[in-house]
Amino acid sequence: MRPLKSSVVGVLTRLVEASLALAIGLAISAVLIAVYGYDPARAFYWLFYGGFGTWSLLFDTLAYATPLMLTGAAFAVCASTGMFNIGVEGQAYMGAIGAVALGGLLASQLPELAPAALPLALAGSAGLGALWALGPAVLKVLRGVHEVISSIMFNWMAFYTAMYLVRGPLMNPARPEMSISVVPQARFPVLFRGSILTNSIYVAVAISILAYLVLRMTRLGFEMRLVGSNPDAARYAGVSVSRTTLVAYLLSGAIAGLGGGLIVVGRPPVWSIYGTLGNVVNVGFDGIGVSMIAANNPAAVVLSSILIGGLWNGSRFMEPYAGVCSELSRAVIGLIVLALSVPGVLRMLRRRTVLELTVAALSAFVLRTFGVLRRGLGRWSS
Amino acid sequence: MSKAPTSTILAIAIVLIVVAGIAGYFVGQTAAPAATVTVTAPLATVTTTVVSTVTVTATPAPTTPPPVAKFKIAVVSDIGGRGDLSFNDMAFKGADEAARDFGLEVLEFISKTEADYIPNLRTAALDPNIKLIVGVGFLLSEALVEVALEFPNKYFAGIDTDCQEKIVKTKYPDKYPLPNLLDIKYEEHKGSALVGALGCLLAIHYNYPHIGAVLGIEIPVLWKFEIGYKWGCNWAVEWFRKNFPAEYEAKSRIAGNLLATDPKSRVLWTYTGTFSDITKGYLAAKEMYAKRAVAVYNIAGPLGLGINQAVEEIVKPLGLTMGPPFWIGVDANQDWINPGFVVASMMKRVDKGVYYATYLVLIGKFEEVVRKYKGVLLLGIGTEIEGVLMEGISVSTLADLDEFIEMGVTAEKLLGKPVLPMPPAEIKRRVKEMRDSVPSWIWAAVAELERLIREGEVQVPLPLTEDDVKYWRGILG
Repeated sequence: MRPLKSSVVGVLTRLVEASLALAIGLAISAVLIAVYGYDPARAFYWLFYGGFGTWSLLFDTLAYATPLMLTGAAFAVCASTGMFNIGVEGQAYMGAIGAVALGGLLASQLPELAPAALPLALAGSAGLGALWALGPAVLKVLRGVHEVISSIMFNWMAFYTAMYLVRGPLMNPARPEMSISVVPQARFPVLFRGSILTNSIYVAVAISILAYLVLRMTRLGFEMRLVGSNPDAARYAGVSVSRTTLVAYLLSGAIAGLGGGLIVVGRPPVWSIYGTLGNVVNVGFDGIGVSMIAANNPAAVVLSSILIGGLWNGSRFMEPYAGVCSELSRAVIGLIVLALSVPGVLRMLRRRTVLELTVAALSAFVLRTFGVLRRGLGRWSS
Repeated sequence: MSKAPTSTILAIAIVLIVVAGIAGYFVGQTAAPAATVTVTAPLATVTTTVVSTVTVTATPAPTTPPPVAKFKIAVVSDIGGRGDLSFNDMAFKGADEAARDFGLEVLEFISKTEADYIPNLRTAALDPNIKLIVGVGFLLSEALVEVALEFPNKYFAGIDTDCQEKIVKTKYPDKYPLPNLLDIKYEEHKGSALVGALGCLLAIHYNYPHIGAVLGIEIPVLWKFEIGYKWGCNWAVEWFRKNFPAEYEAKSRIAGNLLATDPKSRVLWTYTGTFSDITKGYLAAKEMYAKRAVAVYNIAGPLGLGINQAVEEIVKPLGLTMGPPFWIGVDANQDWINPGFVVASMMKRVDKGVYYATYLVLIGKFEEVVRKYKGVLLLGIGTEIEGVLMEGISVSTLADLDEFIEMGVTAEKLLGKPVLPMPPAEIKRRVKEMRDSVPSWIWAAVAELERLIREGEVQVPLPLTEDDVKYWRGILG
């Protein structure tokens, strides 16, 4: 731990960094918007109005932020242990599947389980998320397979597995374009009329803070951070690197799975997964950005996810009210997120090789783009 | 540890506060606009021209009165927004036309993911000048019901949605039908019958044994296409027998002509189980063309590109400039995708649906129509609502091509990449050449069937249950 004085300096440094990054992001976006012939001031006004302008919009922003908190915290837990869990995306898919399988299929088949449907659904998402993380974790521990490579593969497996399940065994016979919904007992109640925010946000905030406390206050957390900063020193100090790695990865998978699950049980109106996986896709990749902005601190993730959630929520307003076409508004949000995560990335650079980071960043970028593409192709028509 | 966690939290908190402050500053400056608007609405495209004057009153504004605000309609898109050359583009086209004819303004709300549906609908409903909100595509059904319940003073219309019958009726039976919500649906079975007849007559004329249909996932909507198509083929055979008895006898003896094929296997059909895997569409179509299907009907949206691929593989080596073999387009006018090889398209006029919904709001008959038709506006051939002709289904004509080429040109600008396969003039030339090469009696037969359907002299079967489908498959194959 640092002495108080350097903590104060740290706060100021972070603040200057973040403000600078935000300013740069906004400036570049402004240029981009102007180049395409739109009015940047109007665009940004509606962007921020849409994200934070009224109470109900703010609540919607919190709803957008809820799953991101968990996928962000999941990534942060792994990053603290020195690993890139690009697999949060796939683990979130499986988490959503777990929620539907236990909170929807099982609870509707066995009505006596219905009162416990919500805990069941949450356990299902955390469990399936952790299970999906087991693969890359075991491969890394036993064979030294780099987790970035293996988890990208696991993402694709998760994508197709989830797609198969949603359109096959978990399909809603009355609405074949989506999975069955979780039973009413497994749904978080809406907090405020006129918003999509549900109680699920409490779970997300609690888990993120819990993750922070585990990292900071427990022996396990200390070991994780030790492995993250210097595995050799950790080994020398008698810490089992492979055990810690495994635990961190499973923990991360469980949290990411919960993030996916909360989309199903914590968001009106369908309480299910669309056949395109459209409501789940990208929640993991956005979580990576959220975690980078928060310098991989799970508690700070709560705040950065609100910022990112607000940007996504607000970006809906740029087309109807500022005329900025939706593709451009998407690019603008991407730019701002990118700029905001630069300080975090630079900080991680001190510890990781350039090559590793480039691979990780590139793959996240490429996969996210693919996600968007797939969603476009997967559109249901006719 | 080199990290200072508290500092990170603090830093981000401060950034958030700054952002919120900026937003708050801007918010303070907005004024909720509201106004009373008078709209004169000439419905240009209907047979009986109705001119009416409507007064729309929005909620009074608590702040300073703004300048004259316009009556607006909002279109909440399915994922992707403009440029899909299908549902979204058609809906926007209809809204733009309504805006032009009635002097309105259109606001576009693009849904980036399914998670945006409710927030987008609600944002639109909160805008005091927006009176009508159109949701495009059946995935918006649940979201439309939720938001329509919340805003009883706003009108909602869903394209292809199943809000009233499937959701409101079961979840809120006391509110059924919700007075401010209209499902706009289409009589696809009638259009499918027309292209079924067209395909069948092509097979008879060109001496092919089959016609084909590539379908998506087996859901009830698709049964309408399947059975309608098969029924249309049957009707065409009967029509040919009645009108050309001598040729009928002759053609029946030619091996490989549709008339010599077992009546129950004239139509080759496959449910591919997907609406997105283009390869499956290609494989299914390839098999059908290998069995010498003269035309394959695309009943699976994007899989049409796979069907097109299968056609290309056959016609490229032969150097053909027009079919047979053909394929048949769906939803939009897809004739331009491969000019000369798409014989026609079964068009579902999403644009008209949006236009009519706007019109109903303007003449103040929205709620009346909802009550009268249990919340479903079913557009088909010869549909008449409140004395106004509201058609939503037709087989593409050469004249239709222009507006769809226009759509392609817009999409090219929007996407920054080529969409049209060749210059518009060339497309038109090729389509016209192909249409001229098809004997005029075939087109006349299709026109006759359309007339019969319009006048109610024939009934195209409408299968709604699994038993219905089994029954019709037993008859038609």
